[in-house]
This record gives sequence, C-alpha cells and structure tokens, in this order.
Amino acid sequence: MGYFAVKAARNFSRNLLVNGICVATIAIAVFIFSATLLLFLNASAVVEHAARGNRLIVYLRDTALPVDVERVMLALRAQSEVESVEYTSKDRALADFKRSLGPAAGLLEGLEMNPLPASVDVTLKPSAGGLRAVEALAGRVSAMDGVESANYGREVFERLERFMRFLHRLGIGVAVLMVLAVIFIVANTIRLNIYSRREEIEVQQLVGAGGWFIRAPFLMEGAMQGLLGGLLAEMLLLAAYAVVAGAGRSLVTPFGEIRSQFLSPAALAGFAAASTVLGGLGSWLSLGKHIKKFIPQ
Amino acid sequence: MIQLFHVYKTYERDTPALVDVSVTVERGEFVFLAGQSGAGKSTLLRLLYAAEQPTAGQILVNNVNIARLGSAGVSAMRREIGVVFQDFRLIPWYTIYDNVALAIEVAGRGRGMIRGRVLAWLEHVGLAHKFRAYPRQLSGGEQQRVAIARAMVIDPILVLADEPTGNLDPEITMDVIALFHEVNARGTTVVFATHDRSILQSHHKRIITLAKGRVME
Ligand SMILES: Nc1ncnc2c1ncn2[C@@H]1O[C@H](COP(=O)(O)OP(=O)(O)OP(=O)(O)O)[C@@H](O)[C@H]1O
Ligand SMILES: [Mg+2]
Repeated sequence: MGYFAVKAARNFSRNLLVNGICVATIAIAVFIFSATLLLFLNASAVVEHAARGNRLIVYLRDTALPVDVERVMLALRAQSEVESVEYTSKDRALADFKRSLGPAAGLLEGLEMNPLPASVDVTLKPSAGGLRAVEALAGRVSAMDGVESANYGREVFERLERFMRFLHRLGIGVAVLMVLAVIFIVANTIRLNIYSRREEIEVQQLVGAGGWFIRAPFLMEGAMQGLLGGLLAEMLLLAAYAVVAGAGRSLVTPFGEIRSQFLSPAALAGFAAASTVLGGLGSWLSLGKHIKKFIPQ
Repeated sequence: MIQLFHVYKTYERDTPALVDVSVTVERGEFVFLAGQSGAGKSTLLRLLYAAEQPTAGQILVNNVNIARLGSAGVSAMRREIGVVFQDFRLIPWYTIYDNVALAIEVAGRGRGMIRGRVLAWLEHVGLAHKFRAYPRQLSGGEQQRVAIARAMVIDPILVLADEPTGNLDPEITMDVIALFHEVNARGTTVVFATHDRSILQSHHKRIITLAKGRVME
C-alpha cells in the first residue's frame, strides 16, 4: 500500500501539469456544489429563524375610532400567547420615519397629510409556537373593526420558501453534474497517464507484475487527484465565505439578524472523502477501458 | 528446461515466422539461437516468455505447458525468467536502482532484502556508483549492464537474451557475454539469440540455427 502510494505520488509530480489541471477542474466542480450547499444551509437558517417568528404588526384604519383602537388593544392583551403590545400613533409613525430618513427628511416637508397608518406592535411569547401561532392570531385580528391588515412577513417568507425549493433542486442538479464531472475528468487524465506511461507498463509486465501491481498506482493517483481537488475546493470556499459573509458575521434579514454559518467539519470531511472516492472510481473506469491494450487479459 | 513440440507461429495473414519447430534445451545449458534477420529468433523467444501464443504445437518451460497458463500464471512464470533485449527496455523515468529493484518488487518481497540484492548486482556489473542516475545518463553498454542486472537479480532459472549485444561495440560485447557465462556457471539456463558470427565462433556452445522459421541444427 505504502509502496503504491509513493509510486502514485511520484507519478503525480512527474505529470504535474496534466494532474494540476485535473485537480483544478475537480476543485471548480466541487466548489460549485459546496457553494450551493452553503447557500442552502444559510437560507434554511433564515427560514428556520423566520418560522420561529414572534412578531406581528397590526395596521389600523385611518377611520378607526379611539374606542376601536382600545378594543383591539384589549383583545390582543387578552390573548394567552401575547407577551406585549405597543401602540404607535400616525404621528409617531411619521416622526420615526423622518428620523430614519435623517438628512433626507426635508423631502417630507411639503407633505399635506400623513400617509402612514397607526399600528400596534405585538410580540408573542416564545412558547406561543412560532409562525403558525402568529398566522392564527393575524387571522383573528384582521377581522376586528378598525383593523386594516395584520402583517407578519408572509410574502417574504413564502418567497424565501420558494427560493429554498429552487436551491434544493439546483443542489441536486449540481451534485449530479459534480459527480459526473469528477469521474469524467479523472478518467480522462488517467487515460492520458496510462498512455504516457506505457513503456513502464510494458516493462512491468515483462518482469511479471500482476494486474493489480500495475493498476494500484493509477487508482491511487485518481484518488489523490480527487482528494486534492476536494481540499482545494474547500479552501476556495472558505476564502469566498470569509470575503462575502465573514466568519460568524450577522446576516441582516427581514426576520432579524442571523449568524452566518460555514459547512460543518463533518460535511467538509464528507466532501473530501466523496471527491476521493469519485477520483478512484474515475480511475477505475478508465483502467477498465484503456489498460487492456497493455495488459492482455 | 525448454521443450518445443512441432511449434508453428504465423502472424496474422502472413508467411509463417516459425514452422514445425521441435527443440529441447536442458536445464543448465547455454545455447545460442542463430539465424539471419527475419529467421524467427525473436518470435521463438517471445513464445518462451508467453508474449505470443503459438499457432500450433506445445511449449513446456520448466515442465509447465505455457499455453495453459492464465494471465496470473504467465506473470508468475515471468518472475522466474530474466529477459534481456537489444534495446535494453529500461524505464526512462526510473533511476538505475529502481529499474533493477522493479524486478524483485513485483514479487512483493521485503524492502531490506531488495536493497541488498539490487546493490550487490549493480556492484557486480560495475554500476553501483550510478544507482541514482537515470538511463539516459548512461552509455549503451552501461544501460545493457543495468538491464542484465535487472534480469539476474531475481536469480532466474532461465535467461532469454534477444541480441543483447546488437547495439554494443566488440569490447563491451565480450564483457556482456561474460556476464551470461557467469550466471550460466551458477546453474541458470541461458538462451542467447544473435546473428553475429564472431560471437558464435568464439564461444563453443550448442547453436540452434533458424532459417526462414525452420530449425537447421
Ligand atoms: N508482430 C509481428 N507481426 C507480424 N509479423 C511479424 C511480427 N513479428 C515478426 N514478424 C515476422 O516474423 C518473421 C520472423 O521475425 P523475427 O522478429 O522473429 O525475426 P528475427 O530472427 O528476430 O530477426 P532479427 O534478427 O531481424 O531480429 C519475420 O518475417 C517478421 O517479419
Ligand atoms: Mg529479432
């Protein structure tokens, strides 16, 4: 085993250009897949966070009377899942909006009437049951007098869920492509290596080498290409992640801030292992097809 | 050691390379295989190390019918036979040491034993100091001595040489032939193909002569 590994490593470095191109191509394939997975992972963290949502904003009609507002507030406070309720008047809403605009607030000077609705900010207890509870409460509150609508980020959530389904399908497609690409690239490189080493194979046979003695270095070389390609892809991914998200930096989402996350060590090890196995498989397929010319069966 | 019974060999749709060849070589013998270019010398040797199968007839090497050997059997047989060619057949990207060691490594022997034997043989052919060099850094005569070390390092029961001196000048030719005589003296059977008359005349050994694929003994 060690003997063949040394041989494979030597062969690898002897054909450095061909093998280097092979490794780089594998790295690109694995990178694309693992990047898709990383995106999926973070998007699903957002969805999960959103599903644990505990905020509801109830917008009131401009025609709502103070008694209506009082009744809505009372009704909300009476709900067992509600933790706190906070009223924001039209004037407060406009003032908050102006403050958030900062120096650009002058744009609002000419405004003749206040376009913003009054609203009630509802926070549910953590034990309430997440988005389903928010949705149920929103349904009940919308029916009350003086309530315009109850918003809990439904459209965004649904869009996010659609995006997740898309990512899922994309991930499967990319995974299939990655598997085929790695096998194909390695098979092709090993084919070139078989031909460029035919003198060696012929001499090996002359001195009585068995089929496995001749094949083993090629198999290990393929596995080595897969492994190096996989590791290179992971380093690229880590670099890309550091640039885009920064380790542990928060992602700002409509559902609050969420810590970004990288692939787990187990997933990384899994990728490297899968890439190694695929490399070995590619080599094996190539040997089955091309070594016959040099080893009579 | 070698028995051929009515062996025929015809390459695809061609005139026959060997016709009704029946030959016996005893264990420990040194025989020359003579004949003009195209007479079938290389073909006969290739049959002996099972690089080709005979079109008809039977071949026994060390009492084994080589037609019955599978690929594993052929490999096992070759691990007991040393073969030397006119064009050396060294692996260009292996060092001298690795070229010789390969012959023992294929049998999966232990490392320490391999090193000792390889260096002993390189010493013997006068190339121990070049064990780290590559074939292209050696002269033709030196390369042939490496090829001979590779053939001999396994202590073969049989050595097949196909015009091993064809590319060498007369002085080196004598050195090389001396090496074959030496292993023969230790009990290895040697079959040495050549068309060089001066070699045939200066060594008094049995000569099997081929002409157009037939034996003219
Ligand atoms: N692989 C082959 N395919 C077809 N014909 C071949 C093949 N090898 C040899 N022959 C033919 O078989 C005949 C015997 O060839 P062989 O190589 O055995 O001769 P030889 O005695 O070794 O000659 P030389 O001294 O030139 O090496 C020749 O006519 C040659 O053309
Ligand atoms: Mg010949």
